[in-house]
Amino acid sequence: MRERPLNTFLVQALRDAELRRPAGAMPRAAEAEAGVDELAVAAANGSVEAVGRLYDTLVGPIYRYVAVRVRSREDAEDLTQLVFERIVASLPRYRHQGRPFEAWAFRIARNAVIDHVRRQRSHEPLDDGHQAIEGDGLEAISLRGEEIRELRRAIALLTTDQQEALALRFAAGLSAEEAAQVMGRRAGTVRGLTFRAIANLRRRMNGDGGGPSR
Amino acid sequence: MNRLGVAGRGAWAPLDEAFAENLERSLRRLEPDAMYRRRLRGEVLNRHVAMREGLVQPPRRLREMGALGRGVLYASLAVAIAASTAGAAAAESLPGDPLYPVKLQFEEIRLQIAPPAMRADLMAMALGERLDELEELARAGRWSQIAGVAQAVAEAEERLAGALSAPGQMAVEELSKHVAVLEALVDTAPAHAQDGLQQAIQAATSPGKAQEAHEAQPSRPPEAGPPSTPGSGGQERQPPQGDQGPQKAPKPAS
Repeated sequence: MRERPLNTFLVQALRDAELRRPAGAMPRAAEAEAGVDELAVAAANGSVEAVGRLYDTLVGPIYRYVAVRVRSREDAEDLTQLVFERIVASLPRYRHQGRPFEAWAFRIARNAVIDHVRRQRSHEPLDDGHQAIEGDGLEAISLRGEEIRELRRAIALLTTDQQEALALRFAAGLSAEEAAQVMGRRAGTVRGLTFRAIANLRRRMNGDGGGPSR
Repeated sequence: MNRLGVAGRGAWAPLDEAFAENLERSLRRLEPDAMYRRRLRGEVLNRHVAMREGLVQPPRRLREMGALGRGVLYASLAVAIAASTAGAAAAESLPGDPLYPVKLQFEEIRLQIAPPAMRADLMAMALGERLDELEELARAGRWSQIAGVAQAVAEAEERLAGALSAPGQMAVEELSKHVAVLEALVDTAPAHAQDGLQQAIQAATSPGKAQEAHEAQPSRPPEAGPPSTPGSGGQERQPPQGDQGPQKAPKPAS
């Protein structure tokens, strides 16, 4: 079968996107004002600009969420790319039914992280567990300093649920309700997990009102 | 931004609240590299357009169990059944034995959960099993039960004939062996069991004949004779003409 010239086609398709906007796509002025859910509906209907704006909105929070849960910058970048590939692939099936798009997207991210962690554990020697604590995950990504190393050690000692709640709320910036939808828990449970995570972290880091960075 | 929940400041110890605010500030400093961010944006948009234009197929969702899944399920269940005591005992049972209905039920379950491509072979196995039972009964001298099994053979043959659009080689080979044994038994069987054996031999040779006809003459006109009609059980079948003798088993294609 003869291959189609993909790059040429994509350039032309992007150029034509303005001219033949798919049915159901919102007007451009409205897109500029739209929230994430409206952008998602426009993106599901084929709008390239909506996809771009969704990416701009979500790439930071998703990257931060992933980065808190994995060990290295490379893992965080690979997983973030995988998450966006899955989001784009699933967009045609997205229907806004009262569930925020961000929660939908973060659920994809969460599943990717869970798969990654599971794969990593299955390849780890049994006596190598200390690396999860001593590893240089966070500081290798963008932060430096002894405080961050302490934070990394302390986060690794939290339960998986506490780590998850912490990453979703403090790194991704989700509300308790949004985090609850991602985790499939109640908002009150997520608040409790966050509360205990903070208390444990502070105790472990021996903070006296200070924090990991001032 | 206060991330401490709707309970507000009062629900948290002051130290925890200060710690949480600092933690949030720290984690928010995690940002992807600018180059990476731009490159990924381009890839995401390209992928979206390619998918929208049908150049890349989105991964299909598995809405139902695929052939492989069914095969694995089938194999697991078959092993579970065969490994169980009841399954093993039932597999050895003959018509008239207490566990014989269990054996038939296992066969039916196996057939229902098997992938479509395997069903013809499973039906052939069931037919082979009925013929095997016939031989065992004859060897044990339980001639009174021959007629009942002969009818079961005919029914299994009809079921197989319905699925024989692409018969497996295994089916033809297995049936050939059984027919040879049955033909030898005809000479030693008492008179009242002769009809049943002849009937079983005829039923066992039908699928092979059907396949030979299918392979040799795919556009064969309907004058070859009407197919067996639904409801025509073994007892309604005409016994073979005396001058024809028992039909020979089809030779397996090499």
